[in-house]
Amino acid sequence: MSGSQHDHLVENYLAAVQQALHPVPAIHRTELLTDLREHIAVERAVLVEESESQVRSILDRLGDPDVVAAAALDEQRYGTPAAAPAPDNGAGAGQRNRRRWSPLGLALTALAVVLTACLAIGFFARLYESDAGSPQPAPSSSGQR
Amino acid sequence: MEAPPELSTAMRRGVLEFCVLALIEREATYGTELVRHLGTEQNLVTSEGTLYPLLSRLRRAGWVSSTWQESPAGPARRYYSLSPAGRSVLDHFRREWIDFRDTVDRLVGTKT
Repeated sequence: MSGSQHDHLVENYLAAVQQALHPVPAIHRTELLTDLREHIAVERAVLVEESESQVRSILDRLGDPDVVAAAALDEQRYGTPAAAPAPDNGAGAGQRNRRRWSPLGLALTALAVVLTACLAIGFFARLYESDAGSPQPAPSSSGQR
Repeated sequence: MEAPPELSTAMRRGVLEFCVLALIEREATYGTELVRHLGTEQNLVTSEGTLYPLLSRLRRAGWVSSTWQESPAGPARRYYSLSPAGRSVLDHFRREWIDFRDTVDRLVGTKT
């Protein structure tokens, strides 16, 4: 009668998800497992008399552990939210998505600027060099006909 | 003839989060209910569990707010609601979507 006899189904399921979540950072892994655990508990709580097939059906709807884990990985890969548009009015008090420069970002930007400058200098130096020499490559004389 | 599965995955990836935002626009909804609702829509989600990583991201992005509320039956539930930032994003999507849909319909020949 007590639902606890089906707890092992739930635990096995969550263990399988946890296993599949191995490549996901720990903080996101824990978060997802907590969400799934809560989902299952809420679904089970409304069952009048819990049967094994009902518990299995809850887990089936959640989906294959590998598929759920793949969704979490997918969020890691593609899930950076698009830059939020500027609020329409001046009263965007709730905007929390301000961009901040991280030290790493600054360092990388500085590096990119320096590299671009070097390349530009190199490019122009070569341009001057070739201007000083023959302005055009001499037409090859090997052409027939 | 089956469409390549990547196509629907890519299309879903682009719009699913806005469907979630729209669903909680009017009233706060708890995770299980939200996930079940989306799970019953055709072609929208592969399975209910795949929505939780998305909900986490929306929380982190500050597009949704969540609060725990006691329930008469079972454990406390996490209720999701639209934050001001989420509302702004959703409004923006709605405008973009109309133009986008029109363009695709015109080019693909699905305009009715």
